Parts: sequence; structure tokens; C-alpha cells
Amino acid sequence: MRFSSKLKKIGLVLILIVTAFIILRNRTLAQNASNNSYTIQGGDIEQKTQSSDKSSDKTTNTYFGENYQVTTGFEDIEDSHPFSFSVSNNLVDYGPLTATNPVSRTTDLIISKGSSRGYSVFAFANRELSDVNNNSIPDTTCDNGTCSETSSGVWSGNLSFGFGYRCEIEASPCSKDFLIENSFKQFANDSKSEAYEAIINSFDSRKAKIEYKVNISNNQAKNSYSNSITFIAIPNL
Amino acid sequence: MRLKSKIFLAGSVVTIILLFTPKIINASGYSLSIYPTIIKIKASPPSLVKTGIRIKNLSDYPVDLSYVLKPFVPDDNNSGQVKYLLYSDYTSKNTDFLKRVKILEDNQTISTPIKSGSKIILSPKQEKNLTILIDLPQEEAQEDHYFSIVFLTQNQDKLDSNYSRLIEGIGTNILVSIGTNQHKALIREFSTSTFVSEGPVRFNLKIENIGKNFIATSGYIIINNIFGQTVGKIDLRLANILGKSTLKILKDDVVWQEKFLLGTYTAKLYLKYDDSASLYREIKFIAIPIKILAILTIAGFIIIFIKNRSKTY
Repeated sequence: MRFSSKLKKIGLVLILIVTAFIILRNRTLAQNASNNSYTIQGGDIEQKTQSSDKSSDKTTNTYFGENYQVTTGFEDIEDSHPFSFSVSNNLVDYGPLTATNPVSRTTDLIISKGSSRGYSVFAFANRELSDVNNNSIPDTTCDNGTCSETSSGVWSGNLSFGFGYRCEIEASPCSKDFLIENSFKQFANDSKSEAYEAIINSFDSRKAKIEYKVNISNNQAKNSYSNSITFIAIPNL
Repeated sequence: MRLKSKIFLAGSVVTIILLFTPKIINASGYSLSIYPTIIKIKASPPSLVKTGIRIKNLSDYPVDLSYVLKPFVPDDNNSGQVKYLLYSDYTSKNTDFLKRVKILEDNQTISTPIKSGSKIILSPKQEKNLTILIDLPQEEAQEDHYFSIVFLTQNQDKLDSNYSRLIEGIGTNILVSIGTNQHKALIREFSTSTFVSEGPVRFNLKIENIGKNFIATSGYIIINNIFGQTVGKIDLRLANILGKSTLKILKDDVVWQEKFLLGTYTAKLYLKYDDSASLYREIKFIAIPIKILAILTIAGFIIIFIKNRSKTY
């Protein structure tokens, strides 16, 4: 009997402590929450409409012309920094290619989001690596023969041939396709009307490393192969 | 003599190595910036819309640029990213509208491209203000058009060996709404876990624009505890939602960071769009700090046990 009454007392005290803690804690939080648009005081909300205070809205760059209205930038982002994109080189030299000896090269992509809401980087090739006689090094299908411009696959074997890329995950916001080590994809091929693939989607300024890999078979005609690869950085909506 | 022949041999080896080692060229890259990151236009034809864009060469080398206008649609994941239409999928509406868009440098039209364009030359660190003109005649169809202006570096460099030529593109998005705007949006989803043991609490939010024109939404979530007190507020970032599309705001973007939670909470979503219309939705969730309660219960039992033992002795 004595044990259960003590238990009840302790339980009651605990409940009181927790209740008091919640009430006092919440009161403090509520008194501190405010911004230009809203003020929260002790649970009562004083709501000011945004349209009533347009002059104080530093971010909106809205102007009017004859029968039109233009708004530039995001209304709720205060700074007006440009969106920038850098590509570390303008040529990727694979050097002389020899059968079953894969060659890897890299390019750094640096994106500064500026006053955007994040961004995507799209990539595509104008064609397969091709020579003047229209011989081409095919796009890789990776070790299991299934990777494409939309899905990745592991490419580590020297007897898997072709041309592909991966985006290094440790330093960048590359797509999840590259989470697995040695996973590669094909570039979307513009000449085959393949849709541009977003290789990076991010909300923050980042640096990404693109690794190109090319490996030829004994049957590949010895010549100089080339193509163009385009990286397009575009802010989100 | 022996020394001379050794030097000759070493020199020959070095020459051969230099000749046959593949060249790894670290050719200079590109660096460009663009502003603004989005341009939203609402127009009633006839009108000649005039706006501007700033492009800068951030590198130490001159760069030649062309530009393309690329129509887009919302991406399949409803995540606020763009999905470019293939050239083969352009409709006559796309091509007719894009013909009305002109880019001017010093009041001179650069070109009227649809797929490829002419040159803009930027010296090192040079910035250019370009004018965008969109000519909307009286008969222009009342609908939205969404496209990016993408500036592309021109690269004609070649190598004797195997190589890829890299082209950098940077762009900005333009949303054009023509005619009478009819905006209507719905909150398709506002949810979180019904039971949580601790914070932070992440909310799922999906907004559907069922109107034909793009909208910009903004808003906030107020969180009340069991006593009706306001204990938290989450400001929602402004979101542009294209006509007839849905935007899923990522879980990590709608987070109440509070860690200790106990009791029933009500989350009230206030959403505003088109500067006037508003939407409201509320949900409840229960928080039970299982870990803390377990620790307190065990501590209580230990205290009682120790007290009883001390009285016994």
C-alpha cells in the first residue's frame, strides 16, 4: 500500500514537472518568433499582409511597361548575386588509345548558386566518339551490358568497351546513379535525340568532378576519335 | 668518351619519352555568370515586352558565345526543376513564339535563333547587358510559354589525338503568361508522421496548380501545442509553379527544428498565391518522448527501490 501511494506521488510530481516545463518553454519560444511579415507573441498571431508593405520588400524587382509586368529574381531572396558556372578545361585529351587499356580523364564543374533556388546541370554529347570515316567508339554499356544515358552500371572490367562518364559523389551533389563505386553512364546523344540528362541537382554551391572513361577493343580501327560534350547549368524555378 | 656516350644515351631516352608520352593538356576552361536567375512576365497583347539580362565572363580569357532558346516543361519528379523538350518535340506554338523573342546588344539584334544562334564576344572579366524583346501581337494566343535562354561557349579547338571538346552553357529561365490570368491552386498533400518521439519534424507538402498560368506561392506553417500556444513557425520558400503542374516541396525544406516534443500538436499551413488567394490546411500529430519517459520511469523505480532498502536496514 505504502509503495503504491509513493509511486502515485512520484508520478504526479513528474507529470507536474513536465507540464510546467512544456508551458514555460513554449512561452519563451513564442515571444521570440517574429519577422517582417509576422509577429508571434504568446500564442497570438498578428498577421500583416505582404502587399501592404511593398516598399520595404528589397528583393522584388518588378516593373511595368505598356500592357506588361516583369518580375526578375525570387521575391523572397534578399541578395542579387549572379548564378555562375565554371568548367575547368575546354578539351579532354585521351591521348593514344590502346586496346583493353582504359583511359580516364577528369573535368571539374564549379557552380555558385547566387540568388537562385538551386540548380541543375545537364550534359549531352553531340555524337559518339567518331573519326573522319564515321567509325565510332560506341557508348559504354558497362560490365553487365545494361547501362545507358538514363541508368548507371558498374564498369570496372578491361574487357568492357566504349565511352562513358561518372560524377564523383564524395565532392559533389551528383545524381544517386553514381553512389556505387565505378558506376558509369553514357552521355545523352544529341544526334540520336536522346533527352538531356540532369547529372547534378543541388540547392547549394558545389564543385563536382566528372570522370570520362574510354576503352577500346582490338577490333577498333586506329584513328583519331572526337566529339563535343556540352554542360548546361540552369537555375531551378 | 664513355661519359659523352652516357649523356647521349640519357638524352636520347628523355627525348623518346617526351615524344611518346601522351600529351595531357590542361587547357583553360570557361567561367560565366548570369543574372537574373528567373524572369517572370505577365502581358496582355498587343505589347512589346522589354527586359534585360546580364552575362559576364569571369575567366582571364576572351570567350565567344552563342545562345539558344530552349522551351521546357516541369520535370517528372515535380521538384521544381526543368525538363527540356527535344527539338523534335517542338510544336508550331513553340517555334512561332520563340520567333518573337529577340536578344539585342547595343540595340542591335544578335539573331533570332530557334536552335542555334550567332556570336556574343566577351573579353576577360567583361560583363554585357543584353536586352530581351518579346513582341506579342494582338492575335497572340492567351497561354503560358516557358523557356530558358542558354548561352553556349564556342569552341573550335582541335587535337591530333582522341579528344572531347567541351562546351559550357549557362542559362536563365523565362516564364511568360499571356492574357487574362486565371489562377487556381490546391494543397494536394500536407502531412507528417502521426506519432513522433522527438524532433525535428519534417512535413510533406505538395501543391497543385490547376490553373493554366504559372503562380508564385509563399506561406508559413504555425505549430500549436496541446494548450493552443504557438510553439513554432516555419517559413516556406517562395515557389514558382508552372500551369497545370504540381510542386512537391522537399521534406528537408519544411522542417520544424524543435527537438523535445510532448503531447498533441497542431500544424496549420497558410499558403498564399497570386498575391491574393489563400489556402489553409491543418493537421495534428502526437509526440511521445519514449526515450526520456523510459529513463524517468527507470529512475523513479531506482529511487523507490533505494528508499525502501534504506528503510529496511
